[in-house]
Amino acid sequence: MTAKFFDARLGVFVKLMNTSQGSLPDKFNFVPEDKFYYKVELDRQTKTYEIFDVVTNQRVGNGTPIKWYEYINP
Amino acid sequence: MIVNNSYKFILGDIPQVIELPVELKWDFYGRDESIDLYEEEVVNEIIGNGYDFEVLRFTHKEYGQEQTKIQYDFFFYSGNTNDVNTSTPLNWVCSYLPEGFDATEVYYYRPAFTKSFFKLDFYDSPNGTTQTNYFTVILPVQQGSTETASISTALPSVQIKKPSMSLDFVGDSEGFYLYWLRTHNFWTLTHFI
Repeated sequence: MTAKFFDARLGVFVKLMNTSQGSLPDKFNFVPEDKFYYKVELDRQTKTYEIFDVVTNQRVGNGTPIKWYEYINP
Repeated sequence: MIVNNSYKFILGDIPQVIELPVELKWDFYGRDESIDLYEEEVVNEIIGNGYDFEVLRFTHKEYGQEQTKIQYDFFFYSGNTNDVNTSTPLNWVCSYLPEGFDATEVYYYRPAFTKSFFKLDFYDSPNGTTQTNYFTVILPVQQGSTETASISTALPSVQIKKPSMSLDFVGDSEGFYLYWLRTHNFWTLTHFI
């Protein structure tokens, strides 16, 4: 699952990432697969879904917010 | 006692038949069914076999004590875009104001604000060159909690929307449900990225 914000004022899409660039040692050099996604699993038996961190594979959103941060291009 | 049988019955050459009034239409029996079968065969030849595209509604799996709420917090960069290299996490703020909206636009639901939205895309792979987007969920900006802002020095502070959405069965629920195929005959995907 990726997230974008459509800014109708400017008519542009703003890309969002799961970590703020402010917390990265190198703001523009990181593995995109780790920073732009959350994993979503569907369970047809229980008709439910869960969301996981792609790096730690820990469930997120179960009591804590799922956070998305604006990505600033270099 | 003399018995004289005065009547004589003569069997002729004509065979005797007994007609039973039972209606038999065996010639036409099953003809409709055959047409139905043939029709099905022709339809299959033309458009192929059908797939089950019925969808299920998925809800957020409960956690804790029967809680199902899912909260999305969105943070926008409030610093100078030329200074990202020296930025800290505090430069990302959960508010529409750093994105360039002013409090009046947000408070009065001006079109520039209300026509904005968040978009969640669900892919089969994180590989940008080969991935396929299978479905999308839109989160409208009208959802979410509020923050205090000032729209005029002559007016008291007001509450404006902020990009922190708490979705559940009740209250804000747009984007809480995910819809995906009931069976896995067509696509076997059960997890998305």
